[in-house]
Amino acid sequence: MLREQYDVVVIGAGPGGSVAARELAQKGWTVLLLEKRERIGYPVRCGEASTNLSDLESYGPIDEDCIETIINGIYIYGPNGVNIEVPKPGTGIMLNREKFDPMLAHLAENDGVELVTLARVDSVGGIEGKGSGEFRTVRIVEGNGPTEKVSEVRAKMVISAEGVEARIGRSLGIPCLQKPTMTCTGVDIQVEGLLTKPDYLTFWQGHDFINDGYIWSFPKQKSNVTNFGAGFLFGGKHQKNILETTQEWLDKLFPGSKVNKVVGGLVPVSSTLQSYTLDRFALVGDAAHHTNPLTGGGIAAAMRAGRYCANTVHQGLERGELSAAFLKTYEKECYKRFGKTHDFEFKFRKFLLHLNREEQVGLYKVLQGFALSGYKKTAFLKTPIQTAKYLAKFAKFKG
Amino acid sequence: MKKLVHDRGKCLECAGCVGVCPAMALDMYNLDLQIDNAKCTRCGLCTKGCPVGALTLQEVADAT
Repeated sequence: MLREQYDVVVIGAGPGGSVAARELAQKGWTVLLLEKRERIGYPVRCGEASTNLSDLESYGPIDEDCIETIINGIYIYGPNGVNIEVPKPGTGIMLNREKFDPMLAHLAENDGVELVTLARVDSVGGIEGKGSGEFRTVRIVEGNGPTEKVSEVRAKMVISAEGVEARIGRSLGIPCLQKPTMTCTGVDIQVEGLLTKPDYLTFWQGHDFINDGYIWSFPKQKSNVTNFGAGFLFGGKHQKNILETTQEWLDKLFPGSKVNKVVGGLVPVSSTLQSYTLDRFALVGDAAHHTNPLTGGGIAAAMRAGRYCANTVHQGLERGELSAAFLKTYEKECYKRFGKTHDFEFKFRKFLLHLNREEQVGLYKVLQGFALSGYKKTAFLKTPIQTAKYLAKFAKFKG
Repeated sequence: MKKLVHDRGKCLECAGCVGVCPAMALDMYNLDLQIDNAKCTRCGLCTKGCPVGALTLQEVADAT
């Protein structure tokens, strides 16, 4: 039974929503967490590679079951056989998100969050009431079909971690629509066995493979399967169906692979939105385009954003001040911690993709030297003319 | 007259189509795609955004 009023209503029990909900409940606020799917984390819409273990553990104890592989490096197959190996022990984790997402939601529940699944938000209303009594009305539909039940609750603050769909954000006027050439469409084919180096993330990128995106192979050691997938910009040059493209590359690179299942998803790669807060409303995660525009990774950024959002909302609830102006603190924190880097990576992606094959091979060689040296900046001195050429090109590049 | 047709057999329930629909004509209820034909402008963006080609614009006699 829902209450009439909550301090905070969080929409979406993905990693961003669950972290925000939990951290606010831990500070004593009443929090309702709504998930429209019946089963949290299912179906997975993700390649499942994420940040390192200590980063993840800063959000709470992570069940051993959720961790498939400790990632110790990355390997990139580039154009014309210029490959880049980057050893980095413990750099990331391959997750099992069918287990990870419910685990985070249950951590939130254990800390006092009221979690309701199969509950979709039909609408979030405008500001009602006055001063510190202001609220938004959240219209909720529980269940599905003939048994569905509609109710309305009041929230002092609404946090929407609604993912790429972002219908609530859009209905309130935030431009969070996923636009052509600013969004990647992707497919992940789960294949039996470990296709590539078991503790590495392997990528194929550039003109010899998929230039508008990349192909990946992410081994899940515990389950003895590999997430083999591909993604590219939708609405761009590459017009073929992503599933057919991915299947073709799988057949070419690993003929005879046994396919278990296929999942799909959309990845915002526009870099963070200019603004994604309103009075008593904020977006978190994919809805705010918090995903990394170069790698497409979004789990860690969503969790960080969830935490920063919870911190700002906590202060706001204490002061009775949750205006859009006040919530800018949250946007600024996201920009400082990852948004600035994402903006740089956005420009780098556009630069990398616009190069012709020959120029791209040259750039890969420069980066290969950098990686081989163990990321010593002095490595660039070994190829000073090439490095200077690309730096100058990049500085001039306007996108 | 064209109408948006959804192939449930192909659909991965990823909701990508919902994210790219500028008319907000699509929504995913649990694992069930809802199409609001009154809102759909037949722009075809969802047919490109869908990773598996589960959405197509098809010629029909009566598009309501």
